[in-house]
Amino acid sequence: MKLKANLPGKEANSNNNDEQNWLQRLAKSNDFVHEQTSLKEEDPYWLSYYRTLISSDILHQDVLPYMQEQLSLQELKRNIPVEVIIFTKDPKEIIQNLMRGFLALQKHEDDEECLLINIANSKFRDVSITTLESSALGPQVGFIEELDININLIRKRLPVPELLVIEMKVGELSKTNVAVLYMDGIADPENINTVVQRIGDVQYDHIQDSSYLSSMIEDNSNSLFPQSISTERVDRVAAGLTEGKIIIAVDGSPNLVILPVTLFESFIAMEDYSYSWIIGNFFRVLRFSALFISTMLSPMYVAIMTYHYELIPAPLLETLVGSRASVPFPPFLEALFLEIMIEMVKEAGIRLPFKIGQSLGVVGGIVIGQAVVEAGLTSNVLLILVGLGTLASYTSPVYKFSNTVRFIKFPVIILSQWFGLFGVFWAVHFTSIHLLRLTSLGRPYLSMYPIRTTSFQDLWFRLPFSKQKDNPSTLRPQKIRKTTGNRKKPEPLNDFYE
Amino acid sequence: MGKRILLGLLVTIFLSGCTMIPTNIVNQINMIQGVGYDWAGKNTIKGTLAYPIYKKNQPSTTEVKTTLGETSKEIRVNINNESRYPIQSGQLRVALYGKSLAKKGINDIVDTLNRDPSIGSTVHMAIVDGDASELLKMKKFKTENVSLYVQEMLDQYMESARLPELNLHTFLFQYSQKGQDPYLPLIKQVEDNIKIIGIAILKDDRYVFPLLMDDLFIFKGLVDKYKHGLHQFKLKNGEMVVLDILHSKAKYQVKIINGRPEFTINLKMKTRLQEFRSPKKQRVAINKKKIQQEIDKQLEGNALKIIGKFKKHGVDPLGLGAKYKEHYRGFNDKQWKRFYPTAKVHVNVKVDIKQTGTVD
Amino acid sequence: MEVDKRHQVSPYFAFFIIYNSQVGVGILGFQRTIAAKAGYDAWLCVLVAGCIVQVFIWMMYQLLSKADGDIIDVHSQVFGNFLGNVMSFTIMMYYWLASVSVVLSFIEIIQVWMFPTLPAWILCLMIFGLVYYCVSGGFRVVVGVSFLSFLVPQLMFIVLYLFPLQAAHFSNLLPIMNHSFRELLDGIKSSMYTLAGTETLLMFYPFIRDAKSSKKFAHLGVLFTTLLYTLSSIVSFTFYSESQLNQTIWPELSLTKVIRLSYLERFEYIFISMYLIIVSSLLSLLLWSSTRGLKKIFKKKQKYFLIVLILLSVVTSQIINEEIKGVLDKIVTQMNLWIFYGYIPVLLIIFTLIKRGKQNG
Repeated sequence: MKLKANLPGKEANSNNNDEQNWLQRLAKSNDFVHEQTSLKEEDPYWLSYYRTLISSDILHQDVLPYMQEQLSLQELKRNIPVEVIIFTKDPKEIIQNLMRGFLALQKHEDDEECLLINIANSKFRDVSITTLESSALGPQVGFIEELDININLIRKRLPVPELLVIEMKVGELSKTNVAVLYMDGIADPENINTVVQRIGDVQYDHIQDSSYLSSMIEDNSNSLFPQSISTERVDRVAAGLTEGKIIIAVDGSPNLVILPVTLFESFIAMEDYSYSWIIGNFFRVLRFSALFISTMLSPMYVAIMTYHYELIPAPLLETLVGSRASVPFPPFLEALFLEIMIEMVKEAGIRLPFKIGQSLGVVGGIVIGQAVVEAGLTSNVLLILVGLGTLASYTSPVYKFSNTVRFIKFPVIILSQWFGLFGVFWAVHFTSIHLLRLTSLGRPYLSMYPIRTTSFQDLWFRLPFSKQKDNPSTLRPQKIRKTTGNRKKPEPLNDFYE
Repeated sequence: MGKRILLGLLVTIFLSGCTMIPTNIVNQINMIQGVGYDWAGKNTIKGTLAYPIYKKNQPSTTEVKTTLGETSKEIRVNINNESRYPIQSGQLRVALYGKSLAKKGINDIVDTLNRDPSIGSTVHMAIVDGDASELLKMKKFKTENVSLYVQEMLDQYMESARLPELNLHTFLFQYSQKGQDPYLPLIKQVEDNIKIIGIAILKDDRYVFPLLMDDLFIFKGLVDKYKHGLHQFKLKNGEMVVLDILHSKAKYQVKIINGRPEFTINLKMKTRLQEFRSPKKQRVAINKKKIQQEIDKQLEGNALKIIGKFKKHGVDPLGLGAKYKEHYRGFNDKQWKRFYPTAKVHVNVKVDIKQTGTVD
Repeated sequence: MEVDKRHQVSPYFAFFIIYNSQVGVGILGFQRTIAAKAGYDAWLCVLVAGCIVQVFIWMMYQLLSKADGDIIDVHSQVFGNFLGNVMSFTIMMYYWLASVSVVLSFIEIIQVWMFPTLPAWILCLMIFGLVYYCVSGGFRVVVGVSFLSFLVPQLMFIVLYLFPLQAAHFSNLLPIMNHSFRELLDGIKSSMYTLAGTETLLMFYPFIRDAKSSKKFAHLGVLFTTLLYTLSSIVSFTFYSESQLNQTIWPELSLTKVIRLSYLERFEYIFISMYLIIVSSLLSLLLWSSTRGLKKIFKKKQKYFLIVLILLSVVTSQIINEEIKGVLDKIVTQMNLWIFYGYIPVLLIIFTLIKRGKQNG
């Protein structure tokens, strides 16, 4: 802690010395180019840039041709067909922009004023389909690592001047560009202030991903539950903005952060809106019950098999006990063993290259599972339960949340080993108290309490669009209505309604 | 902070395998599913416990052990020293009582079923006409689970035929209800089979006499509701009628005349015709009204007959005393006992043949 | 001391708080106690007791809205600082003793039904661990837990009555009003104790936004619990015969023994485990009230009082035996009866007179 607090001051000190002769400081790096245009001996320009950051095409086609004439820096600024050209004397600004791929142009080597021309190499990954949050229906486009493109993608969906962007720089070393987006007139200004202030308070060397930032500004960073949603789906972000949510986009991260959120939003897939509202609701209920299946099945198994054999109905007894008959371990170890095995398969599947990962899933899931049962190390009933639980944990449309679900069952298994069903329900109650205590940007995270009528429209359920009239009131949106009116009453469908 | 978390984590990991409470891991206990008790003379009871042995990929077998003891838990303790795993009673399904024991009274043994929180209250109870341990030990059930067999047999018969809904809870209810005597199913080992032969009528907790199959039909009508149940009636003219009961309900009315209770039981049955045979060997049109009336008469006679029997023995399985108590504030147990043998009971049966099937 | 608006809850939550304060371990066994007093007419006693509690709620609202604060403000206005604090302290101790009595009964249930060998202090620590986590989240979390405990276990348990009702003998309830007035009065008295708990209103009143408008919700809450208790006693009365009920210590738990589902039997184990949610939310409410009051009286942090009370409870749970527990239950019952149904009406009259005197003078 102490070290970090000292850092900025120390840096400021060293900056003062170095900034005067920024040239010397930068020239230490081998990819830094500092050269002279040798076209006209008597009055050359001095060019300095990072070879690795610039696009030589722009340099040769758009900038160098103008060097042949004797022009002052001001004239050059007018003539060169590049969008961003800054005329400055401030060494700090010069360093910063050189680092972003600008070209510094000087009349003389020790001139203070110089012209900064943006010739950055702006090659990046093409806008592509979503990789993690894929969906069968609906838009497939996902964000990429380039901040400007991401904002561009959002602006295309919401072409209104109310969409405002606050740009900030975070990270002592990384100087990462961070943009806070919100809809003016909808989002609660208090929320915006909180976000901006918290981002401003962040003091950390580097921000590699939006998740760094989101976990730094979360209300409770000790919680397992993500109090923000990070998404790569453009439609999710745009929909969130219109409801009054705040988006944090970080340069270099394809995941944008949505704040504030509630627990139930982790069960919402954008696809729900592509189906009939009844089917959409069915999927939502399915995902919600999957949460219980994946967290409760194996702890329940452990509890019942270890303590409460009375609970098993007689017809089930033969299946359950018969499958466990020759297993030498207590149910706890059996469950732990299988769960950890499946987690390892999953983990390895993610780390390995795509093609190997796929075949590994098959090997791990089927072959090892079967072999373990054959060898009599676990019961096949448990294998079914664990498999089902794993499947269920993947139904959440929010990846971070499904990781929480994956983790959460381990402590519950331990509690069920200690206290049986009592331990399981203790864990349930502890979690519900925890969720009640959690807030996201000071708004209650568990959206069940206090009850909001708008939660029925589109949170716990998804009503038909004609009934989704209001923005969620937990966000305290300034614009309350979502729709301006219903469609005109249609002509009677048949004689009955006439 | 970090140190504390680490410590907590270590403690959790080391302790996670331990348990503070004795465990009942399913494959390391013997779960009793059926018990049988017989009288062994001199205050001792012959207890029989049946529990399944499960093996992987093999059908389960049943192990039956018998020993003597004075209390049912003593029997359990005695058997425990010859079983592979500790014996647990949480999966108990059936409790059987030999006739010899039932005649002495079964309440002392039922007490533990009620007291032990691990035993459910839907355990089936039955009196065995004969020896309960013999029944549990039948050769046929070496590979089949005898307890579940009896349980399911009783269940099925209660659901679809003439046995009223009976289990541990109903027994305790009837036993402790003022003005009612309990009754339990009566089963018997007939050669290589277990058979339900009727109902054992108990006075307090002692076996008094059996009510056999023929009387069971009307008995269930009087004490319970039918959802299913076939019954065959033989009419005077030799016609045979088989009715399937769809619904039945008995209503008890109590009138107090001259300080004495008088009961009227109105039994309504909705039925459908399932089979009809005429001795004339040719198709006869069914006279619904006539059949109904005759069946009504038959059943009324039947009911009065069994009620007369109850009165003679001084037992009250219909709970007439309880009904009397509901309608008479000054109920007095002794007085009722005096009234009962001479109490007037009227029975009105109304059978309604709703459907005659696809032909008429 | 004004309560910060951020810590207040909407008026309609009075319903859930009142519900939660009244439903505890009592509902699992009260049927037997009241039937011992007034036989199978006792369900009428519950209804009458419910009406009395309604009046009591009305009185508390009168008192608190006049003072525009909690009971401690009332006391200090009536008796001055020192004597007022002594009176308030007694009430805070009542809250604590009530919570001890609740937790001991619940531990007894767990030990009898599930884990006979599990030491009481472990269970006590586990339950109070939850309570501490809940109370330290502030009043909003306490209310949230009340709300959840209503939503998840309670509504489910009401549905479960369907199972025993299939085997119900409704004629058991006949003849109605077969007991003497004295017996009925006794029944009402013991029903009053099972319906106790609304006293917590004396502490949480200022935490309700626009508190006066919450009155109807509080009345509704009492109505709901009265009906719940009545329903529960009727279900028990029709399910058991009278002498059977007399032997059964926890009729409501034994009821759930008949529940048989194709995938689950013996529901009482789940019932008891889930009951943890209801019990610990009641404990949170009681301890929140108690420690909130102590904080106001002694002007120290609420945290310390909570820790002290919890430790005291854990110690009590370990040293207690049957006899002391009987005495404790008796003390709590008597305190409840005298302090709240005897003292509060008197206080209301005194307070009204003082206020009137001030206005006139």
